[in-house]
Amino acid sequence: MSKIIGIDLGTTFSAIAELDDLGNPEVLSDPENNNRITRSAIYIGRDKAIVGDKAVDAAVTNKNNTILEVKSEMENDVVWSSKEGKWIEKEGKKDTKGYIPSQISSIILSKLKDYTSGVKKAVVTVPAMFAEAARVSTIDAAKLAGLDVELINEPTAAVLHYANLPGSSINGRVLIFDLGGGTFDITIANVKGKKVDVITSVGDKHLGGRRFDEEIINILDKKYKKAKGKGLDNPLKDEKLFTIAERIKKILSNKEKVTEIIEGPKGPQKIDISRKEFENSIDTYVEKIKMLMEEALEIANCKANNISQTLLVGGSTRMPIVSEIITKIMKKAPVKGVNVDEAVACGAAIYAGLQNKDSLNPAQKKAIANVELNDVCNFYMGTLIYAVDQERNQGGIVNDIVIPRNTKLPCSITKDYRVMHDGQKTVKCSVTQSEGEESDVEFVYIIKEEELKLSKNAKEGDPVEVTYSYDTNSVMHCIFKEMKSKNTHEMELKPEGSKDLKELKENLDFDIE
Amino acid sequence: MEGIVIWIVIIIGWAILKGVFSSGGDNNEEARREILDKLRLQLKVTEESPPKDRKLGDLKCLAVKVKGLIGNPSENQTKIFLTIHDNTDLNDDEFGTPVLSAHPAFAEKNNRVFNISNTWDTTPDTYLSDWFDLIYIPKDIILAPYKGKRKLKFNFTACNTNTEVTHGAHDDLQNIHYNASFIYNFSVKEIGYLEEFANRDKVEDLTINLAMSMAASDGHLDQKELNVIKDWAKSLTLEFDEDKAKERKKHFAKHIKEIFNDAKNKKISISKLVEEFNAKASKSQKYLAIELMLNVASSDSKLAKEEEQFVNKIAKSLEINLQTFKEMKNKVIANVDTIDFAEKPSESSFGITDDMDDVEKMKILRKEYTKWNGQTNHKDVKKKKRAKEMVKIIADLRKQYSN
Repeated sequence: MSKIIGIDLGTTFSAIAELDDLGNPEVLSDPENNNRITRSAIYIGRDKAIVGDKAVDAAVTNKNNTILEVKSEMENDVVWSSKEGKWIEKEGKKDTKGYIPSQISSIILSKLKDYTSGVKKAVVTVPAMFAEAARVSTIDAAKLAGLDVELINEPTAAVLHYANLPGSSINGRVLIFDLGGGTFDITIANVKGKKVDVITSVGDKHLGGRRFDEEIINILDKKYKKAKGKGLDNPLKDEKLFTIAERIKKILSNKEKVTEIIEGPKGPQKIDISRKEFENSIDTYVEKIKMLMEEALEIANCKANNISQTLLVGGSTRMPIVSEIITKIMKKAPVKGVNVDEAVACGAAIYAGLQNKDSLNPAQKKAIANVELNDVCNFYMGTLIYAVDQERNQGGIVNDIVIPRNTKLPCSITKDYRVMHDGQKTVKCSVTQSEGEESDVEFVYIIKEEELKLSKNAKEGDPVEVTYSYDTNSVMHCIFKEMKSKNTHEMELKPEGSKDLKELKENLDFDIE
Repeated sequence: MEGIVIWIVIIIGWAILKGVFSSGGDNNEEARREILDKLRLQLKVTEESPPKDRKLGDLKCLAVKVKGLIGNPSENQTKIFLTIHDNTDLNDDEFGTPVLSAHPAFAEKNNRVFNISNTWDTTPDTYLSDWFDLIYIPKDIILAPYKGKRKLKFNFTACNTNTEVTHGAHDDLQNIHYNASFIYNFSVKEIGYLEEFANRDKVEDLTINLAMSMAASDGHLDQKELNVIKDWAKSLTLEFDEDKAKERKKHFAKHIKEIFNDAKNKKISISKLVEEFNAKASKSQKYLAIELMLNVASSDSKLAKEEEQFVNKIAKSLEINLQTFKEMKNKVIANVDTIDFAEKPSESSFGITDDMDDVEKMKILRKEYTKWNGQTNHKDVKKKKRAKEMVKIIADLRKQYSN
């Protein structure tokens, strides 16, 4: 029987988990080194690809062939150029050589998949605010790795894990604080037993441990320059420095001060960094964290004292300043005790079981029998209409929201619009997505645009009904209907990868180590 | 829902009418007339908050209500009309200049004259026994001809179904069965549309002056900025016939040249310019001027600190809605190659004023952060880059209040 696994495909580290025979999530280790989390780093050689710590080591000597933080590029139309050693914009150019983000990600997924055998299906986690394009790339990556895939938001997976811990005391309205290597998400959910009702998710796609490492490197560079009169060479491109910075960050989580010998163009230099200095350097990121916490509480229409517990997820939550911020804003300390690096993968494994109950044994079925997950729509879904801005006394095309963000799924919402003028032949059926409640077309993402043909005698003011139905599998059904003639145009939008992966597979023919 | 309400009211009204006419007999003509007078069509207009089901939010609205006889004696349908006329300096039985609507939903077909029309299923006896909410009109959409205190005449008619109303006037008065009107004293804060028409040429010149001042605000006038102003002036002549267009083009060429020299020699008094513009321009003209100024500012793909500060100052002086202005400016910010907010970005860039406390400032900045953070996923590389910059600028600015 094929296995169904959960994968936390992280910016800096990834993990894979499955349900054990008793239905408890179990993180799988890399058989080679027994590590339970794997660096999301890839070295691409002539006939082989290396994933993990060894790839980071390779970056020191051959950085052009080593790719880090591919997750940050999943939404972009870019290719990794081994010649230039960086991501370059494709900008519609067809003949750009290199690897696209979904191909690189597929290498990580293939590596993880091999930690066990017989895997055909997977639930892969993505940040709550991951863009549509990034979700499509993730699905492509899984398909390239030979996996049937479903996606789940990272903080949602994490709360599932917390709620399912044996003897879990997690109950009531909880805040999931997920600060990983590259992204930051906050989810507020109601937990009752093993039932999880998500209320809202907010996030920043560019905030995480790697950014903090950059700040440490900036401090090192500044101090080196002060001592030696010359700064470090291209410090933010030096993976060796990132390794040192990460080590410093980890030490500063337990100690007030750390001393490192830094090699530079003018020889070695002993440099001290204090926790205070480090925390000051990341104060802009800290402010972003505070804003997102406030935003999540406001959207969930609750105050800090309405939150029973704050649950930590992601390696960066080990930094003392995280606990300090949470304690200050939430008026109580966060819950500790769970392995923050593994919670997302474990939650994904539980969700994988939930979605594929038929393939579970009786014990596994029993273990997840009472698990229930109710999610919300993470974006505003809208359509483009002509409207008059009364303030400016000016007409124009604007975005009109059909499904508001945080609407409980499944949902179906109908809105009424009107034909603009007599003899109008068609209505443009646009489906838009936005994180904010945007009316300006410039700030929304048009997912699909098709046409509804109107009847011959369409008159100004004739009603047109637009219905969006969003199910729990992120499939949205859109119906545009001219009420007079009952003419309809239907569109089904679902997160599916690129139709043709054959071409993408062609240059991925190498062994993965 | 509205249809159901009308039918309930009609049925109740019919029952009352039936009672009145069957009990009176023919021996009491006076009582009958008195009753008929009580049944006559009446209209009233009051300022009221709209009920939630009207989905008008908290817009300030005028509630228009009718009661009395409306049934069409010759058809089983009645066409109703609501028009508004400016009757300032006129008797109540006269009809002054029609009022316009800022929204097409409240306007005649093919023009902007205010008009509400609908066709109701009725019987000859159809009667609205109690005040019926005809419509809630957002006050902001009412465009009077002149500024100041105006006497607006709301006129409601129940007519034959073939009736048409053009520019506020019925095509055939014989088609009207019932008529009711109400005088409402309305205060108009902005320039009226006839004043706007009369001031148009002057306002266009002043708009050019503002745009030229904007172009000069960063210390130099470049050709790209000048071209934006020239193109805008040219676009104003497109609606004219050949002779008039030629005349206006000649005028603009001369005016732009003069004001270019004034701007270069720093001879434009901004305070006087703004004062005159404020006195003559309508709200929509003010937004058009701001839009032109923003286009001028972004013509070199850079929003300079001085330009940003200048347009902020003008927007504030013109007393336009600062939220709408911020949205217009955000569009420019998202599209230019570089922004120059200087080392410490101006709080006014985000609509923060000195009289706000720290909590309020933090809330505004958080809202701005949410807006730009949502754009860090944008497909357009330039917009994405800009969004990331804005998010950082906002977080940097906010942290001073946060501790």
